[in-house]
Amino acid sequence: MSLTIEERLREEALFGRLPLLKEEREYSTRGIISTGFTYAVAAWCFLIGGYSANVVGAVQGIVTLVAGCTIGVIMSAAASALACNRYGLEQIDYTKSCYGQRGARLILLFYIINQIGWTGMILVMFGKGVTNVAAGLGYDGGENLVRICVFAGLVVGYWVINKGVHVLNVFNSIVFPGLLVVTGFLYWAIFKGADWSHICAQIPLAPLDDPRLNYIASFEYGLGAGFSWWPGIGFLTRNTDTQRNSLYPQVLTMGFGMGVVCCTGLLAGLVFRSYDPTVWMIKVGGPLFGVLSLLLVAVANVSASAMMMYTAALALRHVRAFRALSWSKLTLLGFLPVMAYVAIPSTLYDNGSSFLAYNATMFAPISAVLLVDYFMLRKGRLNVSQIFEDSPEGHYWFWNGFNLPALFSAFLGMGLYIWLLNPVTYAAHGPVRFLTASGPATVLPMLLYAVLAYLFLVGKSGGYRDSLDPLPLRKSNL
Amino acid sequence: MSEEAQERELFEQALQIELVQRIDAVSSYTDQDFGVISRVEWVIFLILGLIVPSICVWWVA
Repeated sequence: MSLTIEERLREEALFGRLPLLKEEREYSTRGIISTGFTYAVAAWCFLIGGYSANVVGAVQGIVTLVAGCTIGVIMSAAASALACNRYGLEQIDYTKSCYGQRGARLILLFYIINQIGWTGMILVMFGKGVTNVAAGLGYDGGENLVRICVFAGLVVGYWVINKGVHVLNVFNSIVFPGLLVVTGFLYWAIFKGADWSHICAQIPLAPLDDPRLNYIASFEYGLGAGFSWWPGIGFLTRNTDTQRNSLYPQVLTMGFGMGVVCCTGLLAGLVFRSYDPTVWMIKVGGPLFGVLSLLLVAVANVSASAMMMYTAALALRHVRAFRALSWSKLTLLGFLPVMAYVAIPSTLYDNGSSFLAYNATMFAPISAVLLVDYFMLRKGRLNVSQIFEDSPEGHYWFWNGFNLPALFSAFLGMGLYIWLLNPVTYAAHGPVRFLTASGPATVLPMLLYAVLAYLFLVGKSGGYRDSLDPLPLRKSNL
Repeated sequence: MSEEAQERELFEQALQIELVQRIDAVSSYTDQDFGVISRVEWVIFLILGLIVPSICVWWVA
């Protein structure tokens, strides 16, 4: 075997779909905590906090953001983290054990939408930042400058992920400490000019008519931020060395830590009266530090968007039709839908809170079903060989490749969420003011799937009582 | 067959062999390889991670 093939196989294991062996895992406790913080302390935290500032005040915002992020990450990470860690599996491969070989491709769609949505949002944030800096220097670029910046960000992102994802490490080595400094400075700047009672007295920027619904909306933003990590969990935790390191650090960094950083955006938004970080950063930092902060955020956003499009392109390899495409064509395919953010950047950016809630809408029920399937029905054990088995005789084939009870339960949960709290119009129904939308959208699919699985799956389909010993592959899906 | 196509086919074969070897390897892992989160740990974790934040949200509402 030539060295080139060996190297390619190693790349395929690290960044592709081959199961990662124990000795190849890179993250111990310290490694996963620092990596988790690098992911968590990202520019979008400021934006998420800003959306909360639209609807609630300081105390309610802090509680809902920190609690929401923490709960969201726990619910989305618990099953995926432990399974991906134990078997070194990629996230979508793991979901095949629950949703079926073809059903997992439907989940992949939500995964891709998540990646594309966040990429677009932060690139528009980058564009807005540049536009505001230009305005400060006397040039009004308007919407067209935002469009140009989003497009330029896409081009740079495309170049980076085709040049090699290792380029991102260079970006991240500058961005992470820089964002920590910016966060620290922001807290200092906020509390320098206003005491706690003054901050608490600030009213929300653009609340809905119903105060209770505002509170729930902010909680859903926090949950949405936490659930947003669902697609990235497997990518990180398959590279950790123990079950504990696959779970606890994620909750600490991407949950609690992210919630705390989001509060910067909340408090700054309330004090400086704008949800948009690209506006209030100039107000907080003045012309010099504000522009420097925005430049840092710009680099952070381009870097993060490249990372997300990289994982999105990897995920597209699960679709057989795309597997034969060259890497440059595959990544280009992933970038095409983001062009919507070039066409109507401000419209999509201003409705970003809907996208945030969308993440809870989709991933709360998906995670709920995965939790029941992995912990209750499979007792935390998978037959790894069957993950890669694409023939109808495979354990995870279910009905024509779809686990219908799992998909039905998850989709019902999504429908329930939208009925309880429409993430676009904020039309509320039923007990959403008391139970939230994510709560019932998590509990109902859990209960329903547990009942349906015992009625139609266990002992009949899905390999729930079958041996876990590896079986010869009839038709590999890799 | 072109050189590129040959190389591609060779890689595909190596990939399938590697996959089978890795499946065997990860299937042989036991609880001791990655450690187990005990029931007590789970209870503490869920209280701190789910119950306490939920109570905070309910309290502040």
